[in-house]
Amino acid sequence: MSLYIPPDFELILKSYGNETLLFHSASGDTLLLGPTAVPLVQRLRQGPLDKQPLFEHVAEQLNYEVDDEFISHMEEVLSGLMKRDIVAAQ
Amino acid sequence: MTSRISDFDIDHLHALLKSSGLFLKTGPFTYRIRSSVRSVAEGLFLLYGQNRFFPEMEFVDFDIRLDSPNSLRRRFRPKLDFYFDHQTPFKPLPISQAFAFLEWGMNWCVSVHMNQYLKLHAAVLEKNGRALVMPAAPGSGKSTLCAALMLRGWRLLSDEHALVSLHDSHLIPVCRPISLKNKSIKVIEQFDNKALFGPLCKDTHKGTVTHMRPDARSVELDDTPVKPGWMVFPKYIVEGETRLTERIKETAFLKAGEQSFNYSLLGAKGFETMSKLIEACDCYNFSYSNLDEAVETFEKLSATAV
Repeated sequence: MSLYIPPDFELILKSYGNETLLFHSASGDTLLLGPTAVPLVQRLRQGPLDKQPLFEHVAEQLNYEVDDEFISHMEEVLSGLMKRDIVAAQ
Repeated sequence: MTSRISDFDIDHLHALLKSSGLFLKTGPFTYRIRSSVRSVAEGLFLLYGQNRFFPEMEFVDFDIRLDSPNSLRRRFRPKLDFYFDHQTPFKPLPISQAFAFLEWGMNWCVSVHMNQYLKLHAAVLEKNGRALVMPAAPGSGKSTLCAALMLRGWRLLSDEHALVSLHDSHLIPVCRPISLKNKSIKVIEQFDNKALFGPLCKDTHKGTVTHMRPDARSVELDDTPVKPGWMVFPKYIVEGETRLTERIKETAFLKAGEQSFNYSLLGAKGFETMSKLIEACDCYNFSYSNLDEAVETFEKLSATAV
């Protein structure tokens, strides 16, 4: 399953050095992203990627182990982003 | 020489309001106000007397009228309708609430129109060339604090609307009377006996309401924008300590967005403008109960203006 950011809408990331805000033009909403969502979104902005290598990328960025707990957490993060139409699967 | 609304007497103003109407310019907006209700004339005379008088205007942003809908109601159920471009967006209110109704209606005009600005529900004041923006929900003590700061020399830009320029994120003044309600009226009366109030409207949906006149300098500078300096989220806490604590900009951004009338409507432009505004501001939470201590805290803060 390849994950991607739908190209129809604009995503803007903004940080003042503490946390990261994401503006999604489809909804007009602004979200505060958690620490694992930030590298996930940043990576998908570069192009589509399958779930497994995407999770591995996030773990590598944050120096985390890819264990069951991490995967379960990432599934939740991904599900939240997909519900908000920020990330889609093909 | 510039004419002021207070150059006329109340009878003259009342006659004008009953006929062609009064052109009232506040910040970038022009209202044409018509009403046969005398307390409206009295309130306008007292609270907007320092504003310029314009015998006519080429453009009117908001054409409003406050009157009874017909002669029967005028006689048996003395209620008023607020007309905006011949529409009545609100339920009628008792004639005793006429001036408050006018002020609420004028606020509504700005809140739901004029999307060439990012608009926040916030008080805005200026000191040392920088704007203090205080976004807050009703009941937070925003207006009481705003009134106290103005009475201690801060310039008032608005008690209700922070209008942020989409071009440079500067704050655009829209200087009008400060709305005070219930206990805060007495608090400000006791805080400074120079405070000048308009008609007292009792038993409104907000309780007892009145409006306080802005100082002359704030009205005079009503077309001079200000660079942003501080964003402070105030909270009145009964017998609470005076406390100013730094707040990270990311959560300040979201909180300010919650208090915006049109942030989502403006889309990416709203995000960009809010980003610049927050970037330019030091952000704080502020809790208080003692107004003197609160003013002292903001005096110290204003000294940090660069």
